[in-house]
Amino acid sequence: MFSKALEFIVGLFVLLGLAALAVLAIQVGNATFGNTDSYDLTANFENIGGLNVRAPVSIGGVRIGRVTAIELDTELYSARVTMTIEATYSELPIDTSAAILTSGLLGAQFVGLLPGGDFEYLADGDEIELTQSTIQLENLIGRFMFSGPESDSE
Amino acid sequence: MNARTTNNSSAEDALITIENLEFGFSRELIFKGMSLIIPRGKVTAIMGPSGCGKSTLLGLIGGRLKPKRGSINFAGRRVDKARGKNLYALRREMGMLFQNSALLTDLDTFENIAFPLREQTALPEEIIRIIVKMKLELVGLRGAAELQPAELSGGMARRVALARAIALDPRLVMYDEPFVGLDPISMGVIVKLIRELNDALSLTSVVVTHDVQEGLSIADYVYILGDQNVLGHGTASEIQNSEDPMVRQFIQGLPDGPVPYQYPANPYADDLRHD
Amino acid sequence: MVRYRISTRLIPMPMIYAMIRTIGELGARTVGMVRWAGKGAGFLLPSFLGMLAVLRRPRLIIQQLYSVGVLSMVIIVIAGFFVGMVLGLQGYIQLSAYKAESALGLGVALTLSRELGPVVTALLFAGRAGSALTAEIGLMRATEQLAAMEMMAVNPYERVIGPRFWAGIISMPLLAAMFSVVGIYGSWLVGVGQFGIDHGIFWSTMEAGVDFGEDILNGVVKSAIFGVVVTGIALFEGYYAKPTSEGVSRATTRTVVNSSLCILALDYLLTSLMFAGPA
Repeated sequence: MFSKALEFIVGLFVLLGLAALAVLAIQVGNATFGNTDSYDLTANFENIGGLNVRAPVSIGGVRIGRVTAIELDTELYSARVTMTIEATYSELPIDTSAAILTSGLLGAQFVGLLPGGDFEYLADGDEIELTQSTIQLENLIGRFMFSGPESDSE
Repeated sequence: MNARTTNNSSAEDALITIENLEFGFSRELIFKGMSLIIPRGKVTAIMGPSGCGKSTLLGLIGGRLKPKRGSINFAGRRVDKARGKNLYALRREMGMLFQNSALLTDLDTFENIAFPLREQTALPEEIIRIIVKMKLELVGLRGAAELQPAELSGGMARRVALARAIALDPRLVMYDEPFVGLDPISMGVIVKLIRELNDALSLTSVVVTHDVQEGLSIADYVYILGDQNVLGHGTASEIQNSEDPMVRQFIQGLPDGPVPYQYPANPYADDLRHD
Repeated sequence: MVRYRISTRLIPMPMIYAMIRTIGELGARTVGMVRWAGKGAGFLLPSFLGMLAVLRRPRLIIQQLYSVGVLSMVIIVIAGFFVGMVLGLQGYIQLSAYKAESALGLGVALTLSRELGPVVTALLFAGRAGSALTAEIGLMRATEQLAAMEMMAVNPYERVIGPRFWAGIISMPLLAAMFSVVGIYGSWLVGVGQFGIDHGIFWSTMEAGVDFGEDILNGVVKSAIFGVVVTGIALFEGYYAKPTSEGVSRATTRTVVNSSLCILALDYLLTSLMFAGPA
């Protein structure tokens, strides 16, 4: 009653299902298997706009890590962003600067790093001192509308 | 085994002893204070009008139903007290033929008979094959091993189910209405099989039926149930000559008698009058 | 006393009777629900034990995987493909209004992996496999096959319920994953093939925006839970179906209706638990 053909078809079914899961995980979901080594950096921003946890951290558009925590620094009253950087990118100069950028006009926000020229490198737990907050569209528009003529008269 | 004694049933000869049985699905009782003895090695017919609890009795003997009061003894062990593994151990000594055969529809004839063997034993495939062929030969269906249950006629399905019921060589085989819906030839075959298997395999058989002629023709001993209890019992000839009015009504198939033709109702004239 | 007189005038007697009746009905319904829950617990516990026991006999599970999983595959794949194409079409029309077509891949992948994959698969599964399970077991009950098994000292929870439960739980996440993948390719066909979105952008926005743990894994967990619920309801309804043709047909209907409602309600609950707020 129990045929090999049935066994084979069921095996194929399970295999197809697992393959679908693998496609979802790797091609769609960008899964990283195994604990890849990484280290943490922090940076304080005056304003992070709509930056979210899990937002990418990139250099020149190449993703090198993710934002893992955002909290308020109660001493400076600024936003403290913690980023996890993959260990392969361990040689970031200590005068690297960080900026919150937007992909496209209405796209998601991410942290862009701009490496400096120092020969000392950032280590786990270090802080990026040079930061540039998000460019707020409202402020830009406001400045454009009200400051234009004034600067002319001065 | 002292299977073929012609004496009347005594306590030692009893395979099943039921004492003071009380049972009901709801508050209404089907059995009340009923006692009966199934003699070892004989064919016992349980007869009675529809709804008197004949099939229920088989459920109680098989331990699928639990009595409210009383005891059911199978070969010295209490069926009503058995649970789990003990109950399953008891059931391995019983075979049952269900009214509509209850063959497993996803298995063919061969596998249906092999089913209890595969589930209950660790026999090698070769031996299972031999046992199944033997059981099929006993019911005359060795050629039908490959057929699916849907391809079997009613009579053949019942014979396959019978072969399955005796696959594990039980001590007791219970038949639930084995003659219902069969043509005369198939019916004759089943009657012959019940008798032959009982004698050849030293079984004890319990046949539940409302078919008076077949029941009386096949049975060594007869119980007639009704009114929550045993109405009468005895050998087939004793029952046929019984003076008890209820037994007579049932045996002779009279429409009216102690069992009323009318369902209890208001007086007819009252019911028709508009008010 | 004065207050009491006013209140009886304000609330006429028939209304009080109606209230008492309503409370009575509520009580009866509660009793009914408790009884139903008791029946459910009385079914789940032996089913669970049966599932454990049947692990020793994987062949029984494989057989059920065929009738529950493999036979549901065709409908799931076809449905997934069309749902994906519709998502691609609608998504493109809406997104292109904001010149954001590039987000199509991301939108479709998130929609499918988080919601539509698990939910639509579970709904289709309830209609295709759930109803079949209920009818099969209901008929086994009606034709005394379950009673016959018991009399052959075979536990139906182990032999019948257990393997089918496993098959449902294993099949559902696999089917949901197939649904999502086929759906994504369906939307790819529309977005990239028909409207000319860049192939690379379609996949890279998806890859950047979909998180494995947050989105994919949660979707898989969701569909596994749906698998338990749908299969459980189907088996329960079949096992307790009235052993008549009408009883089995009603039980089959109840399986589809109840499991569909459970899926949708549970989906809201699970979504709010899993994806609560932008963390």
